[in-house]
Amino acid sequence: MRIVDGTEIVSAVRRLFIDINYEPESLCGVRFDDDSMGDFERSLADVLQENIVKSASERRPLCQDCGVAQLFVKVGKNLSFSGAPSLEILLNRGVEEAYRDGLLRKSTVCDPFERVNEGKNLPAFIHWELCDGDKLEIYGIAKGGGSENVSTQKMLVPAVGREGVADFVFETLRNAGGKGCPPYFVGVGVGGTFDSVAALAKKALLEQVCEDNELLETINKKIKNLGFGVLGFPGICPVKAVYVKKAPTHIAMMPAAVALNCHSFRVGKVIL
Amino acid sequence: MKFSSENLKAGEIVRVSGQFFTLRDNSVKKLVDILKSGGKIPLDLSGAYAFFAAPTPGFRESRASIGPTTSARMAGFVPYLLDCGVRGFVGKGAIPDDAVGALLAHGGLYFQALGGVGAYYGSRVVDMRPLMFEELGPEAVFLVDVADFPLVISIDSGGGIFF
Repeated sequence: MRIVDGTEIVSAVRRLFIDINYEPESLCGVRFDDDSMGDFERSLADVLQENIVKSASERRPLCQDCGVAQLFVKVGKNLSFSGAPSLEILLNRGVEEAYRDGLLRKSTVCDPFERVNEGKNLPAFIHWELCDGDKLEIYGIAKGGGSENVSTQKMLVPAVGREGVADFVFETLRNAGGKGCPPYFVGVGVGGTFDSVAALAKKALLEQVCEDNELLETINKKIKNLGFGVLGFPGICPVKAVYVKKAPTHIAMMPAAVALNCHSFRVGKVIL
Repeated sequence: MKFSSENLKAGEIVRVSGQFFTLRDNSVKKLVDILKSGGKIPLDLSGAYAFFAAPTPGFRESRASIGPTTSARMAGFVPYLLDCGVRGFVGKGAIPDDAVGALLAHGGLYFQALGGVGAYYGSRVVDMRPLMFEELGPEAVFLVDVADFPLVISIDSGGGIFF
């Protein structure tokens, strides 16, 4: 059994959430401008580009909405830890320190009706996965409210196939328009169950993978003419990247989910 | 409020310098409740410009970010605020027809700020201070002085609309 020092876990999570809010690797080398853009769309794309530079050089968060803190955690069976009775406590402590020390906005309210903001951005929203080995793998995403509000889940029927899933992606993007701050990074999940498919779509964003090239091609063909561009204004470039993950499912089901992420794509990973 | 262009036409980008007060889901409701019950607020709404936004902390450290949130969520309060003298609104996205109608009737202005570029806008904030409802954290009402703030004109005083 390998024992990891709890303070190491706290500081890794703290660093991860500060890093993704200022200088995420997921935006490294990303360009929002495109030769085929008109002047208006290009002027908006230029501001998006300058924002990335300003965030890093002036140490201002990329977006004022520093998101809810979400963690997807893979825990090796042969790993244990010190410093707290549960791993959850350590992860939450890391998030709290990141949002406090990183001068990040705390946007989580404790009750959906009372809506009191306790100023800690807690709790972190954690997905757990137990796996072989003795490593702790932590994916983090700072997810803003705008793009989360336009993400979707739907129980399709198996007969619709890839065409039907691609239609659902198109419909989601068209309904989202500028509300979630495009150009979008799109995570598509297909398969699993009602509850798991939404997490699968978000995992596609976190892992930035494509597990079905045929679906990807079908989606890319359909979303060529969405009728809007950067930030939802007239233009041609509303999508930056599409990622796909799939899972086994029931003979009667075709669950699908589309996790939209704004242009401020803030994801990262740390392995301990 | 100073604008880089004298003719504000919907669909154009204008650079703005001056003062906004911020409003959000919670704070706009509280503010309007006070006004409707005849209470006083420490802000003259006549000719004022509202910004649907909630900044990050860190202004004193010169490290704050600020940017628009979706206006549609607060748009139900736009007609009343126009009646109270508010001259214009800054936010993100289209707003529903009744808010558009009220803006056109008052000759009010609606601007869209670029979403998700908080660092860019933050570097153009020259002063920021909380004014009301500090207990709401980022949703407090802040006075925000800006310089050279690019905005897309979405409803102009001549009735032009651009979403």
